[in-house]
Amino acid sequence: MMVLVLRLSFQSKEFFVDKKIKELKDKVKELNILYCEDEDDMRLGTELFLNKFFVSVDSASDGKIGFDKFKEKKYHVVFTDIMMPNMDGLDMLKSISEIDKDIFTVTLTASEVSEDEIKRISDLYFRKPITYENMITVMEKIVDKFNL
Amino acid sequence: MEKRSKIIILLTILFIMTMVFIYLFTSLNMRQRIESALDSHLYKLQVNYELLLHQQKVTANAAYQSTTNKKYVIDILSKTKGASKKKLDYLRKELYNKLKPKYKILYGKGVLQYTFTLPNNKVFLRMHKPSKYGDSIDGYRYSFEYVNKTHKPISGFEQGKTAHGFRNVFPIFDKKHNYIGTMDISFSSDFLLGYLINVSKIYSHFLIKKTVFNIKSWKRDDVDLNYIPSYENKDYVMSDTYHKHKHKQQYKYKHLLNNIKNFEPLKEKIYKNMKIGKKFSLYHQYNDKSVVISFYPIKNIKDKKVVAWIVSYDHDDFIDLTLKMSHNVRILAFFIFSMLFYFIYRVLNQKEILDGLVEKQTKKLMESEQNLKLLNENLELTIEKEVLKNQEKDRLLYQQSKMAAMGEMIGNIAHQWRQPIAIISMWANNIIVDIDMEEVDNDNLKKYAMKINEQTLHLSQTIDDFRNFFLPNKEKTSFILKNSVDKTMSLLSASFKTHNIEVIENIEMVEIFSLENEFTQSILNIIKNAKDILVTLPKSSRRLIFINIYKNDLYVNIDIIDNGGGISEKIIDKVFEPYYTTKHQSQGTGIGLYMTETIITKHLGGNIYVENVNYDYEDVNYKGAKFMITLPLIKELND
Repeated sequence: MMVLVLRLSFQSKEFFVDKKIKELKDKVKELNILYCEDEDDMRLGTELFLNKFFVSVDSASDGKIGFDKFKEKKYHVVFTDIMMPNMDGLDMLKSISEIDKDIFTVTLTASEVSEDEIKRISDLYFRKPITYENMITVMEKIVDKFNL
Repeated sequence: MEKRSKIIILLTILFIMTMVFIYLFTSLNMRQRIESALDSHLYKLQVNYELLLHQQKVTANAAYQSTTNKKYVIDILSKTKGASKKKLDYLRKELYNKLKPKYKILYGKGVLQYTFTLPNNKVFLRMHKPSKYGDSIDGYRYSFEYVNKTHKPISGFEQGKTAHGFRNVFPIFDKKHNYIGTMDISFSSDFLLGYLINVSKIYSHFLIKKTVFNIKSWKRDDVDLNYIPSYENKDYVMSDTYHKHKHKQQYKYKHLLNNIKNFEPLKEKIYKNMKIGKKFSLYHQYNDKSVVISFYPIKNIKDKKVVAWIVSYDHDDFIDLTLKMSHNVRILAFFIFSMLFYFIYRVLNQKEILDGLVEKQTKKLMESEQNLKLLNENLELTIEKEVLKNQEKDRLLYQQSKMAAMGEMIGNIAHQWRQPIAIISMWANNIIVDIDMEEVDNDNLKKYAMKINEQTLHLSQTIDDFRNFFLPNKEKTSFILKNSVDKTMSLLSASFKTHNIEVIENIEMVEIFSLENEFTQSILNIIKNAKDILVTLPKSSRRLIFINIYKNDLYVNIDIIDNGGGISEKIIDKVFEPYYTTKHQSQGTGIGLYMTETIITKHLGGNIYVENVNYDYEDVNYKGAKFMITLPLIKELND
């Protein structure tokens, strides 16, 4: 039943999404993206997906590397996992928001730990797995955020 | 109750019988005693009477001897034969004068009549009444006739026309032994009575039969006798003795007589006895004193018929005593036996009551035994129930722990799966976005699909791991402990990674023969328990779990140590109890450690302990809980 509903909703958006995707891509492609994920396969897949929208996507395998990268370059959007070695996503986001208050943050996590805090500190929050619609929503929100 | 009334009836009958027996016995005894007392009275009367008669005979005999020894008596009497009236008068006068002094003496000795008769039965001289003579005594003086005929002496009671008395008639012979007449010495009954009263102290009187005695014609001056109707018997008259013999007890005596006069039953008894004509005595209660009345018959000299009675009255203390004693004995016996029977009744009743009590108690005992039996049965049932309940509880606990473990596993699976699913989803997103952007490239698509397949393999592997973990081992197998620990850790890897938990293993290669899945579940529970406490530690501190496995000769030791700060000493003894948990509801059910202990001790035959430990690791001091499991090395034991 759930599957049926999901599929229906998925199909209903298809026409609409079709033309819109390219427009979205054009709007957001100039933004600098930082992506943190410790799981290699996940990072690989997600980075590839992000690259389809954004020209510049930097990735880091933990929070510490991510934060170091953030300090060296101007990023518009940060995608991050939460449970990561060395520095977790939450601490990294806190540190980032101290430097750049306008940064747009998206949390993609499998964890339920400190959910409330994440929601408070992130602009967008999604639990894994992330659907295609979720990603489109992210794009739209970015468009809204930066008035593109 | 019925038995009691039976006892009462029986005892009452027995009591009455006893009383009757005692009454009869005392009556018999009393009668015998009274009889003998009466006999003694009668005997006394008889002895005294006979003594007196004998004395009278002796006196009479002496008088006869002394009279006939006198020559002039014989001479005078011899001359009477054929003598003229004048000569007779002369002779009579001479004899009278000569015997006058002698008569005086005899009179003093109680002689009433001193009479001489001639062989022709005519009175020659009455010394007591010399004026009357010459009359014939034919027909009414048998004694004289008898002596005249037989010339032999005779003595006895004789009833005369107007008088009566005890006669002693002797024949008188002259020198040639010719019969010349009779001499009579008579004693009055009055004298006899006087003697009895004054000498023998017997109060008595004479009764004389009316038929032979004519009171009316009995008026004589010479004899001072007073006759009145008998008090005892209407057919008799009695000599009014008390009137004559003054005595201090006379009044009382008369009083007694008067009493008898008015007492008909006694009179009747006396009448009957007198008709029989034999001596008898009886007693009569008067003023609480018994009066003994004795009757002694006096027979006529002629025909030996009873014509008079001598009756004596006497008090008898012995009879009084006997009566009183019998009475007292009866009363005493009544009380004694009453008490005795009451006592017997009490004893029997007591016994009855006791028996009743015993019976009751026995009944009670039996009842209580029954109850006890019932109780026992109930107890057995209750125990059985409890055992069943416990088994059910254990089963339920086991079930719950299974469910909890399953929940745990599902949680773990979800955790293990979330990442691969997320990856798959992301590769799928790439496909979709390529399509949407109309940049579909077959090589890329293939790459994406292969990435997805990789992840599905991972998913499949996870499922297999968990399923194997959950398949219960029915049979013991040989397995290397290290592999079991690795399997366990692989299930938890995602979770441990998420929570930054470090697992430090120091494991010897030990192979044991046991139930592998049970073992892994046990250590999983302990590790999970450690994990649950470790996640509460601040991020800054390290989260450590040590797994040490080492063996000695017979046992393998598995130590699992955390750095969670240890278990509170208050509850450390209770951690293996079911439903005991310090954790928040969402974290645990409180049966994990209980089930672990059950599995280790009951299924695997080992032991499990817990203690708090302090230890150094990489120059930092940590505090935590140490779970120690010892399992037997079956292989070696089998050797």
